[in-house]
Amino acid sequence: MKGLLYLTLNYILYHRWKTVVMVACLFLTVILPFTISGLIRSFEKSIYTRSELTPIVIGAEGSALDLTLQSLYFNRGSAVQRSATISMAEQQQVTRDNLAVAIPIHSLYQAKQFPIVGTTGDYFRFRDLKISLGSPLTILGECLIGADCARDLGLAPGDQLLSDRPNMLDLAGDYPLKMTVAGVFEKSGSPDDSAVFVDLKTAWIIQGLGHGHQDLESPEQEENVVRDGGQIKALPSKVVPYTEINESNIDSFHFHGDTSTFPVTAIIGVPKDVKSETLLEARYQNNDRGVQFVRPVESIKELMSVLLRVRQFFMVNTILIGVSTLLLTILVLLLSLKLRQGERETMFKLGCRSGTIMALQTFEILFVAIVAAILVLAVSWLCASMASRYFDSWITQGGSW
Amino acid sequence: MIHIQNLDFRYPRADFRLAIDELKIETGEKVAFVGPSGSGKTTLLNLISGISVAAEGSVNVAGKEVSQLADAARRDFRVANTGFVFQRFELIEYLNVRDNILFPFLINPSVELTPKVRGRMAELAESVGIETLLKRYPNQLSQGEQQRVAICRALILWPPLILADEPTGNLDPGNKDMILDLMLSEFDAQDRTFVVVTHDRAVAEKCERTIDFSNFHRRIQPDEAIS
Repeated sequence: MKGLLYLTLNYILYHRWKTVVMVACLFLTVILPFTISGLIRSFEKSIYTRSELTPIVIGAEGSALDLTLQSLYFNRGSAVQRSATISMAEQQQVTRDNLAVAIPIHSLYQAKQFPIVGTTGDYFRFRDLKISLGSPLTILGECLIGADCARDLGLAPGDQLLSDRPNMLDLAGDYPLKMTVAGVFEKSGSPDDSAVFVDLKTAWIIQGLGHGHQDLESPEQEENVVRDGGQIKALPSKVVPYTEINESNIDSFHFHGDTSTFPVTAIIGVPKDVKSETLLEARYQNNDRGVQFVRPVESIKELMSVLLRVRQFFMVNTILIGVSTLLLTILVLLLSLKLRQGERETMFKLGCRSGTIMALQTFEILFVAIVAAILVLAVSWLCASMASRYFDSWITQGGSW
Repeated sequence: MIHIQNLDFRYPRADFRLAIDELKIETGEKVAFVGPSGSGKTTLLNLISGISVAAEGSVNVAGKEVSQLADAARRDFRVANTGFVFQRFELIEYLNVRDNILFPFLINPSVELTPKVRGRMAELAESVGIETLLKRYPNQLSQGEQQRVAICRALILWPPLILADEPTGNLDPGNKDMILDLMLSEFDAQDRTFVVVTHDRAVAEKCERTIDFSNFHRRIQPDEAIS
C-alpha cells in the first residue's frame, strides 16, 4: 500500500498539469450545481424563515411582494419605488378591534445607507430582539442599531448617527436628524442586524411631521440672532444644517395635526387566532381605502417559485454539461490507461501483483476525485458562509425586484 | 538452473508453436538464444519467467515447476528469482533513477525495502557509473545511461537468473560494447545464470553457449490445429 501511494504521488507530481486539468474538470462540473443549489437553499432560508414568522402585513395597495420586502426586509429598492403609505388610523383600528397585535412600520429613510425603521416596542418583542449593549429607547431622537450596522459603522451606545437626506437637491426639504445610539441589538441573523430602529415619532420627525423650536431669547443663542427693533431673527449663517433632539430642546418638539392621520409604510399583524385573521382579511377585501392585506409567506412563495423554475432550468443545463464533462473525463482516463499500457506490461513482467496494477490506476482516479471533492466542499463552504450575510444585505440594501 | 522437458506451447488463435523436447541451462551459464524473428526466443523467456504458461511439458526454474504455480505465486517467484533487461529499457518515466532501480520493491509487497537494499542500490549505481544521476528522470538520460539503470533494477534483488531480451538492440555501437561488458562482468562476479535473446553476433559470441531456435519453432499443421 505504501509503495502504491508513493507511485501514485510520483505519477501525479510528474503529470501535474494533466492532474490539474482533470481536477479542474471535475471541480467545475460539480461546483456549479452544488454551490448554486446551496446558495439557493441559503437564500430560501434567509428569506423564507422571516416570511413564515410574520403572519400578515397591511399596507397600501400595489405590489404585494414590494410591500412584503419593504416591511419585512426593509428593502431599499422597494422603499424607493414604493413610497405609498397608509395612515396610523389603520393600526389603531386593528388594535381597537382586538383582532391582532398591530405593529406599525415606518421604513422610508436611511442612515449611512442603513434603513431607518420607525416602530414601537412591540416590534422588538415580536422579533425577540435583545439588546447586547446600551439601553432601550427612552426619548425622542434615540436609535437602536443592529449588530451588523454597529460593526460596519463602528458605532457604540452614546455615538451619534445622522440620517441621510432623502433628496440632496431639495434645499427646502427636511433636515437630517442627528440621532443618538441608545443601544446595539444582539446579532439575530436577520435583516434586523442591518437596520437602525427608532421610535415611530422619531421617524415622523425625520419625515418633517414633527419639529422643535430653538429658544432664540436664551443667552446661548445670543451669537446666532439679530435684534431688529422688537423682533429677534436667526442669522442664516448660523442655521444648524441638521435637526438634533437633546435635553434642552426635547420639550419643544411637537406634531401639528392628528397623529392618527400620520403615515406608516405597513402594519405587521399578529392575529390572536385563525378567526381573527379571517375577520381581518375580510375587512381588507375590496375596501375603498386603498389598503391591502398580505400574507408574506404567500408573496415569498410566489417569488421562490420563479427562482425554483430558474433553478430547474439551470440544473437541467448543468446536468447536460456535467454528463459531457464526465464523458470527457472518462475519455481522458481511458487515454491515460492506454498511455500507461507499456508501464502495466513492465510491471507485470517484473512480477507486480495483478491487484496492484489496478489499484495504481484506481488511486490516481481517487486522488483526482478526492482533491476535486475537497475543493468543491471548501468553495461551497466559503460561499455558504458568505451567502447568508450577502443575501441579507442584498435583500435589505441593494436588492430591487 | 533451468530444465525444460517436452514443452509444447501455442498461442490461442495463432498458428505459432514452440516445441522443445529437452533443454538444460546450468547455474552460472551464459546462454544466447538466436534465431529468426518469430522463432520463439522471447516466448521461451516468458515461459521461463512464468509470464506465459505452457499447457504441456515441464518448465523447472531454480527447483520450481513454474507452470504449476498459481498466478500470484508465479509473480512472487518472478520478482524474487529473475531480473529482466529489456530492449527498450522499460523504465518508468515518472520515477527518478533511484526509484526506478528500487521499482520491484514498490510493486510487490512480498519483497521488503530495507536499509540493506538501499545500500545495495547505491553500490550498484556506483558500479555502473550512474551514482551522480540518481535524482534524474529517464528522459534526462542517454540511452546507455537508461540501460545501465535497467541493469541495476534487474540486479537489485540478487536474482539467480537474469533474462535479457535484445538488451543492446537500441544502443549505438559504443554503448553496446560498454553495456555488454558491464552486464557480463556483473553477472560473472555473482555467478548468475544469464539468458539473452539476441540477433547480435557479438553478443552471442560473448556467451558460453548459443541455442539456435530454428530447431524448436515450427508452424502448426492444419490437422494439429483441429486436434
